[in-house]
Amino acid sequence: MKLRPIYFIFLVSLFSYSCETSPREEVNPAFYYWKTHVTLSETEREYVTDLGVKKLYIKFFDVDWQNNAAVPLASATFDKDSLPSVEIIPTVFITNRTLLNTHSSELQALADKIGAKLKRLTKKLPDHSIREWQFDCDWSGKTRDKYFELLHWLRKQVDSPNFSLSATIRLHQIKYFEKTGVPPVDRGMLMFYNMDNVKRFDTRNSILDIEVAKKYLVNFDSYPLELDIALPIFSWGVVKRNGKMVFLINNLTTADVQDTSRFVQTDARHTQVIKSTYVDGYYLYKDDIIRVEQVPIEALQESAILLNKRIQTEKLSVAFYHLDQKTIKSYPHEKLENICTHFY
Amino acid sequence: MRNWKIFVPIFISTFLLLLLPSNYLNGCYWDEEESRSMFAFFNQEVAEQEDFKPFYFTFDRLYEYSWDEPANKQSDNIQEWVDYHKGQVTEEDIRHFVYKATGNELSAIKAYVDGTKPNPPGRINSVVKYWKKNRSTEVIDYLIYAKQCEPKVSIEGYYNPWEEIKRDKQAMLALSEEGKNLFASFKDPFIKLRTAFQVLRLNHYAGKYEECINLSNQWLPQLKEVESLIQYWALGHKAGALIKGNKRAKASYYYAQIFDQCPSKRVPAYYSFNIKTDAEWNKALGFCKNNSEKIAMHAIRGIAPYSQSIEEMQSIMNLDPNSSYLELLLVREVSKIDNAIFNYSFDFEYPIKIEDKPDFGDPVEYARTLRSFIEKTLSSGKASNPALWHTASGYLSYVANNFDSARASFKKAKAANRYNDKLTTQLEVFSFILDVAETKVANSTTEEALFNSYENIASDAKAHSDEYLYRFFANHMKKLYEKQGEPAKAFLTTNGLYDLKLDPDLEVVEGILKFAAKSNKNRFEQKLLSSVGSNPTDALREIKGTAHLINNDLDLAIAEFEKVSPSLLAKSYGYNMRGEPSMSEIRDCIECDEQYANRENLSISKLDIAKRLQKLIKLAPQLGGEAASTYLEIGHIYYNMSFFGNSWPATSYTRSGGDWNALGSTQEWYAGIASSPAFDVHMAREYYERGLDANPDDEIAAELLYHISKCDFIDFCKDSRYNGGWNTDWSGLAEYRENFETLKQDYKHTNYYNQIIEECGYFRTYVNR
Repeated sequence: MKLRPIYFIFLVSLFSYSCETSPREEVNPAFYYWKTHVTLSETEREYVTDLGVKKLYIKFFDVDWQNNAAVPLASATFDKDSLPSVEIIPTVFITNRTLLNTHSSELQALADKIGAKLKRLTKKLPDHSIREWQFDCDWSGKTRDKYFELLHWLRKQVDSPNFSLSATIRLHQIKYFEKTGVPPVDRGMLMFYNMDNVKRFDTRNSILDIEVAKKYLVNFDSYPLELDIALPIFSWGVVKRNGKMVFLINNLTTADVQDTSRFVQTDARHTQVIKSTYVDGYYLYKDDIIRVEQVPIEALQESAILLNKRIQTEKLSVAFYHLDQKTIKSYPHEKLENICTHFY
Repeated sequence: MRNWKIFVPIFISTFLLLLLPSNYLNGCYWDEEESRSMFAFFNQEVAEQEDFKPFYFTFDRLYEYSWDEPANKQSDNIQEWVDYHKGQVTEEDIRHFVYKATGNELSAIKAYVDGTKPNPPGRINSVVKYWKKNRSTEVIDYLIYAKQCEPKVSIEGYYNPWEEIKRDKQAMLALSEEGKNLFASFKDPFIKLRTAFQVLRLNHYAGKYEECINLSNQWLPQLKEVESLIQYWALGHKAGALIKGNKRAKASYYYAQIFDQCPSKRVPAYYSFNIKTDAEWNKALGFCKNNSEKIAMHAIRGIAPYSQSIEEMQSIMNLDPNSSYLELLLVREVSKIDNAIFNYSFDFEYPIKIEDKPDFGDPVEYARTLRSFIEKTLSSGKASNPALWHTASGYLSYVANNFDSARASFKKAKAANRYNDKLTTQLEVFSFILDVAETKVANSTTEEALFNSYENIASDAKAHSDEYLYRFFANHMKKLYEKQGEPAKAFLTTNGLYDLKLDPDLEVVEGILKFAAKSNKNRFEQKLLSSVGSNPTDALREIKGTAHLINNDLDLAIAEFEKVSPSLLAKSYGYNMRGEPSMSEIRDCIECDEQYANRENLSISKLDIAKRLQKLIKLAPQLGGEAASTYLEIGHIYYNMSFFGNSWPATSYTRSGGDWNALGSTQEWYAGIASSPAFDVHMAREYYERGLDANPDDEIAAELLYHISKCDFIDFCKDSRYNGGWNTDWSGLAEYRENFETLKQDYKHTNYYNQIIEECGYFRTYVNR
């Protein structure tokens, strides 16, 4: 009956009370590593050490729907000697179409396959403690129940009190959690990015826009999962052709579009291609428009201040997305350390 | 050779996933999965580019391409083997030895061929006969070697993508050494080339990239005179090894040539082509030995996802105006525009309406640019297939709303077309859509003429655009009917009985009833009427009666329901009506209580409900002090006929629990649902309030007040400030709780008060807060 959630909110709103934010026990810097071949350069290792990173969330593989079956794609390969001595959290990205196409009766078998593959890949990292799996899926109304059931079966794969499951959580999944549901996991990783429509021309910054974020900052006090935080330190170029977004160029910064023989800046946010050219493997045609989106350190600071008031987690992980040689040049480790201090 | 079947789709999927940053895949919206369907009038197959068909424009990765049977791979190879045997062997026999026979079988045959054994191990087929006659032991040695290599580089049998692929690199390298010795010993260039391919592939897959490149450089030039697709298969492994060494320019140059020359490896070569910088492109272009090779580079770039191919077409035109790639790129570009316009302008109207323009851009403007390029090409006399170019130009004129120019181009295309049947059909389709677009009045003459044309073309155009043609035609007629004040016919062009039930508009229903009664309907009119069933009058009257009931015109509703056949009316009994209309519920409980469980025993129709309401409404004012309980009953009937009661089928043909989400929503797509009469409880409130005005006793008053409070709560949920109660800000609820407060203050002593305290959590919470 539809009245139930309303009744629930009503009760929550009647009995909830505000409380002072208590000092946290721990704030642990962490990183996502999202490339298929997992190998950290000397610079990346130094950076991780200098920042005092405790955890690396590494994407082990994607699960997608191909040829009428759920299949693993982009499985990670490891240069294990390049990895620092930190806790590793295998992360799996699951596409919605996988869940849409997988019959409910096949979810347990899919969980078995995912679990077995995670365990097999984990064996390749014998020197690292693995105590958590993380699952990343932007579930929709149509896939929510299947995703949650899949998580239920995945938990059976690691039925141990010392092992936890976590799931990535989008901002809207907190604001509307009565509608979107709460995944059956031990912790959530709030992805504090990708908050505006990347396709719209007038979007200021689809990665992180504090004004947009503020609209979503409700319901944290009643959200039932303990949350960690993922903050963006990536950039990209949103490329529009004939007015339509055609692709994103990862890691593009304003420095990459400074060559005046190929580009001209048309306004504060947009650059026009004036001579067809390759940029990082993408062939851009004359008249294409690029919107470079980067995350200034000030925006990260403001995010930290906003989130600190709302997130009560005592042992908080602050994971930066993502570890990349080029990206970290724009974010000295002292700056990220400073971001973490905002959570104390 | 099964490995391509498996690895190519996996590789490509991976590649495509990597193209999209996961951040992008992980959007911050509560979106449903997008589903897109292609709406198109333009048939790319008019370009007659069968060899390049997978590269016609499509939403999918490739156009009508089967990963299980990559373009003629086996058949091209078998044909080469037949040619090698001077046409003296059958395809079936050689296929057996190349793809099926075991090494042991081949060894036994070799013993017969070289005379070691006097008798063959089995039947002497055309191949064995040829080998014996020509003492062809080299080819048998090669095939035995190839069958040893195959399992090391391919996956035999069922492939489980969840299992790790394990390669025995030591065994692969040992076979590579054996292959080198065989290469040195073989004399026949055809066999040497195939042996080289096996060795290069072993080294590539074993990760010995330098060795693969060195052997390629050493062996392939010696064998360049051998005309064989194996040249390209071998080159593919060299290119793969070069990519691993970051020599992308050279590798991409090779992939472009494989794409151009080798149908069996065209798709993998297309996906492997990988240029990252202008310098790499220029370097790769520098490797090209002639214009044909340069054209292949531009073509492969021109068919990349989201490419803007005018630039590539211009480059190809400058190199060779007769290149067939020009036609491939031309039809792709026209199809992109076709898709861009019709995929977004869902009602297919003219002039084209582009919605959400800032986000979408202006494909019409791009159509003008492309047409200008086409016309320039035609004027220069360089178009090798003018009929196709005129057709494209005409269609783009049509897209840009220039119908005269479109007709002129189609006329030229028709004159220039000689043998292309698909183009003939395409021009008929375009002629029809122009006729439709230029029709300004809908009357019997235009209806008949256009419908006849549609039927004639639809059979020819079948499998490409017949469905779209009808939708386009019907939609245009709809606009004309609306303009001419014929809402019934306008409705029937794109809707049916179900749509009418969702939104029973009286004017439309009456219009369709009149239209149904019209004599001498033409064939298009008959087609329109068929959308509401073969005998629509009964169904339409039932819908009309329901519309009157929704509007609270009880006399009219009764009069209309009485004309409906008893069998149709009876359908509202039992399973349809979920509960007794006058039942009083403290907690709304749709389809979950005892009444629902016994619903088969309910024999109450919409007509019965209308009559009961009519009777009670007349009776109540005459009852004096007893009127309150009758008003309460009337209120219950109205409430129960709403979304919130078990008699909702009296006024709605469908109900979704999810519609609750629409209440109070400011989101556009919910607006229609939220304004539905199903959510309107004002009539219930009105009669509950009349009950209060009739001086009821305290028990009845408590019940009336409580039910008014239920109406209050629905109004609260409909208030956009609270978004159906989904918002956490309930600060404004107090203004909707006046009747709760009255109940709390003045009716504690009643039995009904205790009942609601018992059953209603809202009220209990309110009282105890």
